[in-house]
Amino acid sequence: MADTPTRLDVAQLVADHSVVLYRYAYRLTGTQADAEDLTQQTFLQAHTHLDQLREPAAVRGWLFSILRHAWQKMCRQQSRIPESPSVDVENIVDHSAAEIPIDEERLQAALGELPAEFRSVLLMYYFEELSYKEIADGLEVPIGTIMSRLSRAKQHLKRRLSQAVAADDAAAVNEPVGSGRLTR
Amino acid sequence: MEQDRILEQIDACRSGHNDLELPEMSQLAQRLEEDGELRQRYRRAMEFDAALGEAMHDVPVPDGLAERLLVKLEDAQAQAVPQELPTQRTSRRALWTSLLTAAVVLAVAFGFWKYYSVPSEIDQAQIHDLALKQFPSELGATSLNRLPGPGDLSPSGVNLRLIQGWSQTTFAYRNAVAYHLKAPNGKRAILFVTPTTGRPHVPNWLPVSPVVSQSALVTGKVCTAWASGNRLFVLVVEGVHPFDLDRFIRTSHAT
Repeated sequence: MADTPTRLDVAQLVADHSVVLYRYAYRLTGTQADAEDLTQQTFLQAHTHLDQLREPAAVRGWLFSILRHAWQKMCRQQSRIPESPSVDVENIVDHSAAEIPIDEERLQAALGELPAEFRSVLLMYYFEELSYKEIADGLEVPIGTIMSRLSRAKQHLKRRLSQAVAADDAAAVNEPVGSGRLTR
Repeated sequence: MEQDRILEQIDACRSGHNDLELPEMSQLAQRLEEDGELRQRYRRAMEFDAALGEAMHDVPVPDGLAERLLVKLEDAQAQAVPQELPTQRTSRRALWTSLLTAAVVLAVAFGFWKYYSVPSEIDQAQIHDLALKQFPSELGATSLNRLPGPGDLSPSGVNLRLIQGWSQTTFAYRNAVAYHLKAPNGKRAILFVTPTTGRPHVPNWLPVSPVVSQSALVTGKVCTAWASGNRLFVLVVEGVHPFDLDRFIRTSHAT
């Protein structure tokens, strides 16, 4: 039903897609308020331009596209997009996933450090489930550039999450006995 | 450099997909077959990719999100309607403005047309001609006003006892009064009275008193005109001879 609606209305769109759009918006913006605002803008624009949707089956991709453009517009208005990429991937780490427990807040913090063009590529990859070739086509950017951004963005997240784990381990080692939780 | 490209290709591979079978990944696939350490790295990258993909969607959704969105959407749509109304009001205002402008333009154009469509000057022969042509229609007036007539266009120079009544009319491109007169023998006459001011200019050589000899003889009607006190008087009488005017004129200067 969500992917092959024959008759679309905004209430049905909200029911089918609001959760995934909100999550996408949250990962892009980093705050609940901005995510809700962005999701609302997306549905409002979708409702206004519903007649432009050629393939109802592709409605989710269409909504993602609207959301992404609305976010870019929001960024421009709020001047949130950094001028140049500042991703540090000098020290590429190579831990297994089991060694890097992914905390939701730390993940969001690391995402927030990514320049907009890196973040959007990463989220297109994970939320829109586009291949690097499809992302390159959508953004009209060379495939090599997309591959590089994707790789550097992943490495940045891996490094920041690993640093957080290391910091937690160090804090646990240095914690004085009896200064923390009460134990029986 | 080569190593960087290999690592980028590893990160471009999606966990659970057969990306290594893609032509552009053939070099990576070959390297993985040859390099056990790289295979380990690839395996860990796929594990991280799967974990990251899952964590990306692990976002708590606030309660009542869908309901709030629908309410906000309804509000936005409701606000969109009044935004259209000013446009309609603007359109109506623009329409009225256009109509008013058009009306003013038409009025001005009509004024110009009316002003320039009349001759700048009218001579005695034309005055007589106009009066003779207008005479039958004025005689046909069914309801007449009783005396006295308008003070600024009161009759003068005629036998006032013969006046039956008056009617409002136009004469020589001006507002005028037509006084209806009737002689004891049944002959009828019309006295047109109109201001001499305005366009067309009335010749200043018209006599100040009725002069019968200057009237034009037309079949069944005789006419004379004079000017006095900024008023033009034109008398048309049923008859075939200038003497027929005498019955209606108070002071005769017939020659």
